[in-house]
Amino acid sequence: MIALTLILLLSPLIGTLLLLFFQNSSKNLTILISNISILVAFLLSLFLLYLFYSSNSSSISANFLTFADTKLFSLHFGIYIDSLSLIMSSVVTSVSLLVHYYSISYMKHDKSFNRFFVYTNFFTFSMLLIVFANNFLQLFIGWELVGLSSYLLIGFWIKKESAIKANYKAFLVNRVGDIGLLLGLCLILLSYNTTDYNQIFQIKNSINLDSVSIFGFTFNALSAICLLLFIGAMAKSAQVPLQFWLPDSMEGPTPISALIHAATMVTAGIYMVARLSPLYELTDGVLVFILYVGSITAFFLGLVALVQNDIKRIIAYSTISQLGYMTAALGASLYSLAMFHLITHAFFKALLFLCAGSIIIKCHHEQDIRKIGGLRKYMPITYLAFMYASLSLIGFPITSGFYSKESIIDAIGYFGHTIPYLMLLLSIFTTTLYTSKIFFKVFFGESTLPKEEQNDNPKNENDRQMLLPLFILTAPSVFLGLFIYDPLMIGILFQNSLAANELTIAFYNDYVINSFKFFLHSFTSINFLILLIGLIFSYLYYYKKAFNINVPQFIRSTLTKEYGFESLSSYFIPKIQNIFTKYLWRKIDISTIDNGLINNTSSLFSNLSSKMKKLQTGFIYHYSLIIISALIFLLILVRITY
Amino acid sequence: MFELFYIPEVILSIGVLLIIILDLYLQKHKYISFFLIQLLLVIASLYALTEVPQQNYISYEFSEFTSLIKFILLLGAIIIFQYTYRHLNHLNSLKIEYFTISILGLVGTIVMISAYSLLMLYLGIELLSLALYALIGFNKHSGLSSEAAIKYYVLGAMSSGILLFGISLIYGFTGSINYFEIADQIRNINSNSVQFLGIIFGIIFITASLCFKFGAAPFHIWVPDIYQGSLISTTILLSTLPKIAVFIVFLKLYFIPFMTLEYVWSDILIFIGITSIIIGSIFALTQENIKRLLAYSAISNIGFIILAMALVSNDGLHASLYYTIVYSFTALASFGVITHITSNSHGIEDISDLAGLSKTHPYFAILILITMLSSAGIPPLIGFHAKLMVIQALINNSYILLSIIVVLMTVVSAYYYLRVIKTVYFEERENLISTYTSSNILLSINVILLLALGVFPFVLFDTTSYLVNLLTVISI
Amino acid sequence: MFDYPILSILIWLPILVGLILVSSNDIGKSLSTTITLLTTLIILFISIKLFQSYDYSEGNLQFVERFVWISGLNIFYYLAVDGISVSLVLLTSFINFLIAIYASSEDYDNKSSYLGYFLILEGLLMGTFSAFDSILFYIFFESLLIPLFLIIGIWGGENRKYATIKFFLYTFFGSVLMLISIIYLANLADSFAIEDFYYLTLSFEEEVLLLLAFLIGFGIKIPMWPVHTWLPDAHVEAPTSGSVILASVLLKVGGYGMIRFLLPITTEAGIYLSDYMIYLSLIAIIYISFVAFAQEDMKKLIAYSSVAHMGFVTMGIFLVFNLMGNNPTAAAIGLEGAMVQMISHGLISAALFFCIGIMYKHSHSRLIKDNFGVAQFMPIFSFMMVFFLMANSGLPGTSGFVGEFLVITSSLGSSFLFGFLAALSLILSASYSLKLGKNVLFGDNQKNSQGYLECKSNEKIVLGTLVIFVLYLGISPDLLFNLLDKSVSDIISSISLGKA
Repeated sequence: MIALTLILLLSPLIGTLLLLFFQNSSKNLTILISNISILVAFLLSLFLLYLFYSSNSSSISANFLTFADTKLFSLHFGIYIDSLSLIMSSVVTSVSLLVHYYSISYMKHDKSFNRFFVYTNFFTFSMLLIVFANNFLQLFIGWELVGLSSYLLIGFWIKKESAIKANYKAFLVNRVGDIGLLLGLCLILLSYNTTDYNQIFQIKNSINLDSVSIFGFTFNALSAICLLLFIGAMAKSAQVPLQFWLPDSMEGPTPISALIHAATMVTAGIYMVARLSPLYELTDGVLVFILYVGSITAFFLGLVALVQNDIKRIIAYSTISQLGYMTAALGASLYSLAMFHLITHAFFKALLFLCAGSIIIKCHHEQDIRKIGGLRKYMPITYLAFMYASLSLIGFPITSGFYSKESIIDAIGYFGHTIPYLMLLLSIFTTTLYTSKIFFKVFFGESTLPKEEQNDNPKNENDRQMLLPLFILTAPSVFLGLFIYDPLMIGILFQNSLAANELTIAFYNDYVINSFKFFLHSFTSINFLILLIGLIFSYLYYYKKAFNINVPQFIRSTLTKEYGFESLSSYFIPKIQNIFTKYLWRKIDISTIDNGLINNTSSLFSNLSSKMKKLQTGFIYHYSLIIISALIFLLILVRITY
Repeated sequence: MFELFYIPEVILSIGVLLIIILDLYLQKHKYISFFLIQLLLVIASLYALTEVPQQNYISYEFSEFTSLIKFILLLGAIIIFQYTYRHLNHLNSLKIEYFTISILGLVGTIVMISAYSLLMLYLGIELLSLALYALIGFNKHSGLSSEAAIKYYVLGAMSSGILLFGISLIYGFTGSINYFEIADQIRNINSNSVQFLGIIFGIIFITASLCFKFGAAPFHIWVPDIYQGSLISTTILLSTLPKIAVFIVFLKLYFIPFMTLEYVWSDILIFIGITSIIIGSIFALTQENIKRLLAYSAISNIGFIILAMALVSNDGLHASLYYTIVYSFTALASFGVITHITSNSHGIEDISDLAGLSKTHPYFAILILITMLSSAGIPPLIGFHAKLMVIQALINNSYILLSIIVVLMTVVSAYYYLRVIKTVYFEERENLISTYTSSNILLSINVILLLALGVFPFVLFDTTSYLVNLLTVISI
Repeated sequence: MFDYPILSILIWLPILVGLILVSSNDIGKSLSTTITLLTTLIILFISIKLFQSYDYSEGNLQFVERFVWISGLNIFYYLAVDGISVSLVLLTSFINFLIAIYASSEDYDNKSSYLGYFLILEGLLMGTFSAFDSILFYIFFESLLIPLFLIIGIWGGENRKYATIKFFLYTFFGSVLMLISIIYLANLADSFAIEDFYYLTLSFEEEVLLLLAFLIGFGIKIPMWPVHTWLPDAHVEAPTSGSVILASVLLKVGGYGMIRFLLPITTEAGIYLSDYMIYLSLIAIIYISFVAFAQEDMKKLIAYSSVAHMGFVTMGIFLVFNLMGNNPTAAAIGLEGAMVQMISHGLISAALFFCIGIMYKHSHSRLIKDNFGVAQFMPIFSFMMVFFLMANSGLPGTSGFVGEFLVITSSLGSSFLFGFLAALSLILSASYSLKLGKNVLFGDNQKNSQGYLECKSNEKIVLGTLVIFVLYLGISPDLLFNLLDKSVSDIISSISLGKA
């Protein structure tokens, strides 16, 4: 089992290395290597999943490479096999596989075809590194490596200025979070002398440090650690206030947005918190913080999506708000629900992005939905796929999205976190709005694009390689929820790898009863009402254009400006940085230290020297005067002393 | 008493007279008479080594110590003459008189170091000065040269006057000119009597005039002009042999007759030493003329020597002796290199004349590099060990502050040595530099020793410590 | 354990060959190149041999060679190594070998003496890292200036005269103060052997003064914050290989000296002043990173980033003072972090300077604005450069991460604020490193007026090897830790011994 997992973990890496090695060989080879390596990983993870449940073995942790093993500390690379990691890995590998397959045709005209797959394979590897990590160091390493690969992929088109800016920004914002993560890691090493999950789960409360004071506030070590780690998660999973890198990251190729910035990498934060749920359960206050961060993100960033017109940016904002849901679930210590939504979201959001990708390809990289229109008749399959995905996203009953999202909302309501509940509830409405906005504008209405751009090829639909993934993804994004809902809720699915199952179980027994009942009950719930209102409203507003509301300018602008984060990140910070750093360099470093201290000292001596040189007149009488006076001086000196 | 005839002084004096006569007949073949001169020096140095030390001396010392010093002086003279001969020959102003006069000066230095009475000392100094007046003014074509000669003559006369006054004071209050007897007199004198003051004044007068000869601040004032004015070969002579001699005189005077008054003169010497170091280092920063530069570097080096000696401790003595030898060695090398280089067929005057030397003559460039770094006291060259010993002596006698000032001054002085290197290596120049030999064995050995002794300092170290032991035997 | 004096060979072989090369002015370029390659290769082999036959389990000095050198002053010719020295010796020989490879395709006037000076430098560095008699150490330490001075001065850029003099006097000033304190200590211990200094009992005032002297001496070499200004100038003017050796090995001499002298000798004062010294290090880490961001010259940028990274080294060292009392484990972690940081920075900065040198050969400008869109024409080169930039910004999986990670860990042991401020470098270093990549490598460049061309095979070898080692130390630095572990703990113990 361990060996298999190791192979599963390494096969994308091997793929990467092979790709690097056969850089200049044919496209087909590239395709073969990349897809095979991922396929292997995917099959293995399914197989392992099967093995794991059939043999219902408990979690396994094993080290395979020594990082450092000294008297002071011992750090290793290892793998941690349990239901959570295996499920996560199957999700990651499946989406990754489909995206790889999709990209074959999406990227087929690109010069650096090979480079693309190098990056994606490497990304898959680093993601799996996180998923299977059995210690914090490895987690951090994987964490940074996914950051790296996202950096590389956002900036994949190296000639595109905006892309270069975007990936710089993305990396730096992630680094902000990483500070938190790194500090957390260091604190763990310092206070436990190890970073191994199992050992720490056993020790629980730290052995070396009892309390840490962070800027005056004193936490017990564990809470401090968890808080710091969560800051890392906030950046990676684009939670307020570290969310503003994600929309810009849409500069990258669309399949990447599907893989990294919707399905997998951005959920790493959620996964980490779920993975560490045993620790988070012991903290005080941190969870509440998480809950609020999540719900605020879910609501406010959903609003921003309304005023966007770039198809990918809209979906990006929706991703942020969906991540908000997951975070909120974590905050309410409904870890299994968070994971559940993570999984379903991975599928339907990937599907959305892939649809968007095929639309964009169709319209020759036109992303503005005001220009695109009436694509239904040109690309029916994409149309259907997009519809199912949207339904799942807005949580229309029976779809996967419905089960995951609704149960989060209801559970949070059920456990009486009122304010978050309301926010999440309202954001159902916004979700419906922006989703159907895309839907109606893109597939109905009429295009403002030149005609020949849409029906250039007779078939009017993209080639199979791009459609197949859409088909496949439709299935889980619609039905997966129904299948795994019950086992998940009663905790068979994740077994004891997540803490605080009892909450979900209680919620399930008391409120849900079972999936079908939940389904029926939903029609009577307020959630559904809001959903319907949203649908009707947007039908009238976006499709029929029955009426138009003019939103007050300042609201619109604040939203488009993303509450000022936009200008902050892209205008103020760089400005300040430039001026400030220049000032430091010119004024302090050069003027003060270098000229002020160093060069002045030297010039002081040379001035002194040229002044004193005047004594050297060259006249004998001056000289003799000097000598005599020196003699007299000495005489007086001695006379005084003796 | 018969073997006294064979002492180097006598041999030299007679030999020189003979050579002067011979030279009249050998005008065409100067090299022969030059060869004879060198031969004479060699013989003399051999005799210096084979001298038999006497036990008790009235006014003139024969000891192992003096004979060794004599040997060193003669050796130095031989090397200098080698350089000088080539140099004068190249400037085709070669005159045998130059060497004969120098030899008289050499005799003067020998007399100085072996003098055991103030009168002898005075004679030696005068003999030396006499020779130097002539040598400085030797270059009749240049105004600077004769000006320098006049200056040196006037100031020198003044300092001799001061010296004589000092001597007479000592004689007046102790009634003797012999070192031993003076020492006895001083030993039993009460410190608040008139004699005491008189003797101290005498000491100060003598010190002043010796410092003048030594070129130590604030009596250094003549040094730059004289160095600049006179021929470079004269400058070598000025900056080596007399310095050694005067240094020995210092040792003998202070550690034999005036030993008991060390609490008086050591402070004065420390003052003089530190001022020389500071002045030497700072004045040199903005010098353009290389001779002046080296003059100031000489002053600061003298400062080191005096400072070490003024500590009146064994390691101090050792350091000063070591430093003196290293200094004269380095001076020989650095001036020696300069004598071999000419820019547009006249001798090197300004530092800028050396620009681009590394391109045209890498060999000489390396020589200059080594000598300059050694003078700057950068390890692993011998100059470093010399400075190290002085500083260590300072610290051992717990003059921490002084040692800090000294090393800071070393940093300052490093600047102008680096300037020379910079000009030689980093700067381009079109107008040609010529050297009249591709290489010179003697010079190379001289320079290489700076490095070799730096890596194996114990060779020199042991010699000097041997000398110091001899000296301490005397002073007790 | 060795029948031949391995350390002496390491020191004198390169110096002799170098002297020969220098004095035999311009024997053919190819010949001198081959000679240099061979020598550096041999030295590399010998140092690997040294490394293999070094016994981890006991940290105390090994391969000792000790003879009287100057009897009167009882100065000894005393060579030995412990784990710390061995790691630095390896670094030195490795980097010099790479330089030899890189220089093989370069073309300088009077190349033989160019290479000769590098060999001399290598030998002197070996001496510095293995001398255990303080005066011997000082001699090597000081002599380092001479070849570097000439390398920068002769083969350097336009403004080289100013830069060289500044660099020389700056460092010379620092080291003379150090010399005084060495002599002072030797005077008390009446021996120049470094380890005899550890057992001295000094008054507090003495210690403070000594500490300051050593701090200035080594702080200038490293360099620490207010006395760093010589470095950018020196780097900008130096030829590529010069910058490489300067950044990757010469700066380490300062850190090494601190570990050898400052830590064990002036402990009391150190404990008293540690906070201020840590502040200095933090200023170096944060403030200098800002300054680095403002640079328009690539070399200056990397030079400043070196200062920032050395900030971690000094911080790791001074944390020892801070933590020794209450948390010796954290102290040891900090010291190991400092060492690892030195080694890794040695590799990374070297690589970056090579990269800049390669670009400079095409564009003939070090200014960021004159270089852009390199990636289109030099894909492999750009790939490696991005890698090194990432390593420079402390990406985990590269060696750049390990040192910073350990130092931050130990600093958290002292106070959260220290840790947080140090961790800021995660953003700052990324911001300037990636800025460089963003402006130079990426972007559109149609006509390639700079004439970029994929780099030569020998350059690929150089960068490739560096990539491998940076990765290796990043993924499994275990070997390095084994090497350091015992020696570090010995130093910590000798400190507490000095305290008693």
